[in-house]
Amino acid sequence: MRSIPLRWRIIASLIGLALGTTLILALLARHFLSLSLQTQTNVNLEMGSALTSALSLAKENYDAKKRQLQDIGQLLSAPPHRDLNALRAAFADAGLDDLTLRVSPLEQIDIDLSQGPVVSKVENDQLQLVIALPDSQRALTALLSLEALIDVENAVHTYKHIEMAEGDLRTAFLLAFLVAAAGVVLLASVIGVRIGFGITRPLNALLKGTREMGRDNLQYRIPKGRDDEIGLLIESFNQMAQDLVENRRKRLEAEQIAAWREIARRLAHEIKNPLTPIQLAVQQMRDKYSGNDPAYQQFVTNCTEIVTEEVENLRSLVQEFANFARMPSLSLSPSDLNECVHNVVRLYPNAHIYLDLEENQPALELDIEQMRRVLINLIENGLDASGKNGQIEIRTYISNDTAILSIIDSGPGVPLKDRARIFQPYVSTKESGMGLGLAVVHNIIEDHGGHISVKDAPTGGAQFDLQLPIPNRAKAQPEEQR
Amino acid sequence: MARFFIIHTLTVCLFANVQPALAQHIPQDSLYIFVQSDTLRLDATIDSLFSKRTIDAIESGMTTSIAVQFRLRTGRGDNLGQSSLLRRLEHDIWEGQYRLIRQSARPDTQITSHFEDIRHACSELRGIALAQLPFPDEPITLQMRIDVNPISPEQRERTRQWLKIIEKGSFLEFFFSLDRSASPEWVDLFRFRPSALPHLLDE
Repeated sequence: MRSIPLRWRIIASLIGLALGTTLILALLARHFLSLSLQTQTNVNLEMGSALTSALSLAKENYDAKKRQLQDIGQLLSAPPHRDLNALRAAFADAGLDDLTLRVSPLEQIDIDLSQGPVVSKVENDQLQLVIALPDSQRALTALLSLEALIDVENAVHTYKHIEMAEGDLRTAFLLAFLVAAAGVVLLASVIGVRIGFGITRPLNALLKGTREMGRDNLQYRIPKGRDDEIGLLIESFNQMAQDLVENRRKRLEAEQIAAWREIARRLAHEIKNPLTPIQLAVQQMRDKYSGNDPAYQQFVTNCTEIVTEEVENLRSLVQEFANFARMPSLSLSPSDLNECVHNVVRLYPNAHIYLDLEENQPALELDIEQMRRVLINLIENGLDASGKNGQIEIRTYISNDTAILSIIDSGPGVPLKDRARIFQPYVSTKESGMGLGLAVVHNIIEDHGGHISVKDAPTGGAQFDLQLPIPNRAKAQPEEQR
Repeated sequence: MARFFIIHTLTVCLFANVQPALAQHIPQDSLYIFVQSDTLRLDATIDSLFSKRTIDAIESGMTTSIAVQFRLRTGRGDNLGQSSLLRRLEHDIWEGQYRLIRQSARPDTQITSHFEDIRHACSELRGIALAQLPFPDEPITLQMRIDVNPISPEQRERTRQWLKIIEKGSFLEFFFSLDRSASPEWVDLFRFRPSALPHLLDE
């Protein structure tokens, strides 16, 4: 069974985490809300009871005031006649201070007062007393505000309303919480998707990269695009691919060199053996001739010299083949590259060779004899290319923990098309030579763990750069010296 | 993935709010539909018109609106007629008086000091005109909707000011409203054929 992709597992985990957290919070919120509302309910019960009592008291107060108004109405409707101040004083004596009194002609009153004073509740939350004054001409209207009592009534109504809305309010709180929680879960989902894709996208790129490697596409590289650990992983992958390319190149070169050496060894063997008999046979032909024909004698002597000379050439060639085929294994020891350069340059006292050597050159692990061979090869190549008054410049310096030896000539340089194969055996830009020199140089440098390359020098000639590794123990020494 | 759906469903169920069933109803034996002078009329008694909480609210003096509505629907959903009884009940707790005000083209007011009189006046429906005949002789459904709301707009405003948290435009306002004016659902009351209805003579 195919497992769930990592991307979806990450997303699901984050959503699950958010949901789980939200669920726990929801349960807690629900619990605390219930607790709060329960407490509130208990308070409400007391408040409801208190408000009911307050309303009863207000009603009693209302009834009492109504009775008071009726009583004082009876009193004031009987003689003696009182003016407005006296009427006000009478109300004050009865404990009814906050009254609005108005005396008006009796005919303007639209209330039947024949049965005595009338007390009634009127608009604007007031209690009204209307009496016919003893002069039978006028009526007194007294208005008592019930504002305080109405406030109690309104408070009770508000309480009742809240009580009725409590269930819905609780639901509203929970719904609001759920919406907020849904927002959190949605946010977690979006973040989850981003994180999930953020992790799995480069992983998929790496997967594709490994598949391309498996298909032998070593040139495939993954775009880095980020600086975190995943970026480092991608960088490491790309470096690994680059190393594979380099290793493959070196392996191919090594195989080519081995093949060339085998050919050289066989050629040397097959050619060298018949050379001596040929030379001896020809010399015997010359020595054994006893005729008197001086012209023929001369002819034989000339032919013998030609054959002997060509045999010597062939022997030299065979020796060169043999040297290439029998390149000894390196014997490395800590050596001074600058000293090696000086020793070789001494062999060319008449050449224009300029030195620019690194003063703090660390000791390198070199086979000094092989390095001499390298330097001689490159200097002679440079002198050949530079012509009669040519110049050679030799530089040593340190770059990126690598010792660099540059040999710059003043010749025409190496054409771009030849640079890729100039270090292969039997490739030469010169009319003479077997094209083994640079192949030998290349082999020696590679065997030292180094690298050789050629480019155009800034001055116009060819520049051969030899990169040689600095041993770890030697790396610290120049630092200390400095 | 299934686990998350289960958790989600449980979360939703945890907070699910089940609406209470409608308390008011008309017993079938109290329902009488008849034809009188080409008018389809109804006699009915509404049971439990006022809930205990509503009665408490009325007793505390809250002004209550009472809406009883009927409508006739065919099987195709056509509306054949609609009748509304709209009343407002005020209780003057200071004078101990109930005032039942009928809101119609010809408003009238019933004043009493006994709540039972109010209950009777509101529950006992007699000769309610539903629609004018003729009807196609096909099955017709009588539907009813009752809304008794003891919350006046003034009271809503007072409560809103007191609660403070329920302010216009607040996050909670999105889920909660003190305005309970949303009409309840129509409920099927009775199915009949016009031809099967009794015809009463004019009095």
